[in-house]
Amino acid sequence: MSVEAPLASPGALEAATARASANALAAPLTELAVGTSGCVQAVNGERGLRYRLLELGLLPGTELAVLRCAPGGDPIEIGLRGYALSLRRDEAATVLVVPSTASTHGAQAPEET
Amino acid sequence: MTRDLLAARPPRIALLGNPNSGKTTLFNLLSGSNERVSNYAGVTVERVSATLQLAGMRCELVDIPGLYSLAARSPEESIAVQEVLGHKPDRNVRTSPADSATAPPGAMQPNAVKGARSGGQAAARNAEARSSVAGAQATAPAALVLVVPAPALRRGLYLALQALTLPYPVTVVVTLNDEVEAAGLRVDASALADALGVPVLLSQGRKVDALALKRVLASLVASERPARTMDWPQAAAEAIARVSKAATGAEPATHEGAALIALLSWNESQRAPLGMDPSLFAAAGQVTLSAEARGLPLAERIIETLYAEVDRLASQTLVPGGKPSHTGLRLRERLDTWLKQPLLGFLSLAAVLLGLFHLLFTAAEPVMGLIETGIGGLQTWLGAVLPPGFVASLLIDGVLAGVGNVVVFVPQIALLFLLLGALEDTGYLARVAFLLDRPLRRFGLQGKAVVPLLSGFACAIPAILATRTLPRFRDRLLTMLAIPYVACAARLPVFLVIAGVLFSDAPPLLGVSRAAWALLAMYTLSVSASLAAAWVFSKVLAGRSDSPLLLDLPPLRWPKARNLLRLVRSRVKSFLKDAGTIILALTVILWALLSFPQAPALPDGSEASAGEQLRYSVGGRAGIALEPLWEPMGVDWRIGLGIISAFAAREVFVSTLGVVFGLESADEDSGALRNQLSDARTGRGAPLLTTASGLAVMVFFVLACQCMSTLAVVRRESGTVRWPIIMFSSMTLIAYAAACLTYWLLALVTGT
Repeated sequence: MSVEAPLASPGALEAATARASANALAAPLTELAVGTSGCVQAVNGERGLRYRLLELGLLPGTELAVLRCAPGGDPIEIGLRGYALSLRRDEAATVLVVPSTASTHGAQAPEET
Repeated sequence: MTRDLLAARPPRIALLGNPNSGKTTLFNLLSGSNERVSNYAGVTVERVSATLQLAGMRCELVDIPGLYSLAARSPEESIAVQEVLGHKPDRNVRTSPADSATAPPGAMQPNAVKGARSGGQAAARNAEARSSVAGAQATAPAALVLVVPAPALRRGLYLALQALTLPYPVTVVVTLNDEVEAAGLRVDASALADALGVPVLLSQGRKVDALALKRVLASLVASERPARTMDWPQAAAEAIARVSKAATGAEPATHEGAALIALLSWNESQRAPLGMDPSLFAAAGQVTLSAEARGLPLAERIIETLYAEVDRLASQTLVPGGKPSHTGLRLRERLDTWLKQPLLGFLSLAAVLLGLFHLLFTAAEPVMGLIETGIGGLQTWLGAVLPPGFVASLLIDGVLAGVGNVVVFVPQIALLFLLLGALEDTGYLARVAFLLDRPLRRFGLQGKAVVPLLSGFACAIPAILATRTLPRFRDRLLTMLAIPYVACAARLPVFLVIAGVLFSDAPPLLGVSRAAWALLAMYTLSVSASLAAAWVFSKVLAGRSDSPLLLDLPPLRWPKARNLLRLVRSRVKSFLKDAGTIILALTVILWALLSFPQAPALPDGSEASAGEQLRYSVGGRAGIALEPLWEPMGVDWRIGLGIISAFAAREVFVSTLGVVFGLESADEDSGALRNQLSDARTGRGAPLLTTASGLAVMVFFVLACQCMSTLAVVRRESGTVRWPIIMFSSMTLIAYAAACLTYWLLALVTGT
């Protein structure tokens, strides 16, 4: 079967752009320094990756912390929902986060409560 | 439900869960099988099943590769969809040959999953479909065991909720409870059971009560459970209903759940994953696009709704309790931080590898010596008991010298698998993958390729199968082409024999034996060569690596002795099986080639010496004819014969040398192969193995593709004979050139 549809429908693009510009404070996850935390605002990027990141729990409103990064700054390890996930900067750049104003004490994954 | 139609086949129970959830440990516990468990994301690649007796009923237990969602994005994940959703293009399989010719079962599948399909598993399952009466339902599982890891409860519950929308009997097993208890929390099993409406079992610390689980499963297998209904937002509910109308499968109760998974799987650049009804997938695409045209991200809404439910469940069931033990936790966290730091991370990696090679030489030595003595004793005894002649020669210089010299390496093979398995199960290798992702990408490899590449140190065949975890075909192919350069366990006997001969008397360097340094050099060469191969092929192959890396880093854990011992046992068993079959057969053939025809008696009436007899035989004459080929590598026809025979399998090198030198020294009191080799002289009386020629042979073995099974697996997984041919010819040429260069350079330096 052929599914040679265009890359994304115009509606999806608009929705993504609207989500992206909703909050001027939001920045790509890659901008977050190690040891700081933030709150997911939106996940953009290619559909397969976007769905997978959402399914791993990076939903809008989710608290996450940047735990560390590998030598060379890539990939980065984040803590969310009580577990650790590492992803490349390329993928992290598709996640928009609102940095938390209060600095977290050390690199701690948000506890699961 | 038409499940009773299948009474002839055993009901199938599938284990479903995230990677690193302790799923395979559970499988081992239930089945007592040889399947291995690992801390590493995605190690269970092939379908692993076992027979299980439940209250007198025979069931099939299947361990599904770990995954996060039933929305498959790699060939490996589609195996899970196939097991759970069980849709097959069975009409094609069951109709007349003419029909199947126009629509072969594989026609709907993209290239990337060909490998997974053409494996033995797919063939077996097609056979299943042919023999079944009920078509699509034939693959419906009789029950699902949903393995939910307590430390990542929400992520595990997300997958569990997806599975619960399908109408199969289910039990949930919450594993790794010790880790949440250490954080002062516990999972309330009865609350979770009430909320989900299915039986929930809790592990006590690490342990799951196998008997209780079997009791639950026995009652589940014959039972029915309605699909779980979710409180979808209206748009999502409508979309699911619309998609499910497109379903063609015969079991309507599964349609909604399947529609949900189709909506989450659909992607414009992908085709329907194996096991999913293609018409559902197509309908999901239409519905998604039309919703997006109205500005409604459908899958996002669905995932949000599922996670809202997950959050509700988690807040009800994850309650304060347990005994917090912060010291152990903090120590582990600190160690984890160190291992991922640039400097300490790479230093510890180097230390771990060096320690591993050092242990391989020193720790296994006593056992090795014991086996050598045993075989030597057996040879002496046979020599005394049997009348001299061909039978004695076949047994002593053929079978025992050949197979015996391979069996000697069992302690090392066992140790290698034990150590590699332990590194994997602690989660250390996952840290190495984290460290090495960026460097690897420079060579065109995908970060996740670390997993198959590292398992290549054990054996290339499971490593090549493990490339199925990579979502894109190009990444799989690149990794496959790089893997055969990684020094597998079969090269170890060759390295050990030669390094043992070269450096047995040399003093240690920096406290580590010189042989271990040589081994480290060979492993470094093999890693560099495999990276170089990946780099070259990534430049040649069209396309670009753009598949994402999402690596689940589980906490550092103690490996389970039981799982490790199982792994070692199964590997040693298959090594010994090879030694007892292929290597035995080759050894006997080689012995015959080297023993006949008999050299004529000398003019004075005495028999020809063993050395002359060897040169007179068919094998000896052929070997001597090929000697010019080996001269640039600094070795004579005897070693050359070993190299040629090693193209069947690398260990055969050692057995061949065992036979060659065993026959040659048949007159004298023959010692262990290592002694024979260090005593061996060239025609001019110089030592046969010098540093230069010995290392040249080792280099040849690092780089040459001397493994028929590897070529066969690459043929199967890449889908063409082109790649195995390219692989074999390029590797052989490179190996020969590099070995000659090594000899020439080292001979120049050492002046031999």
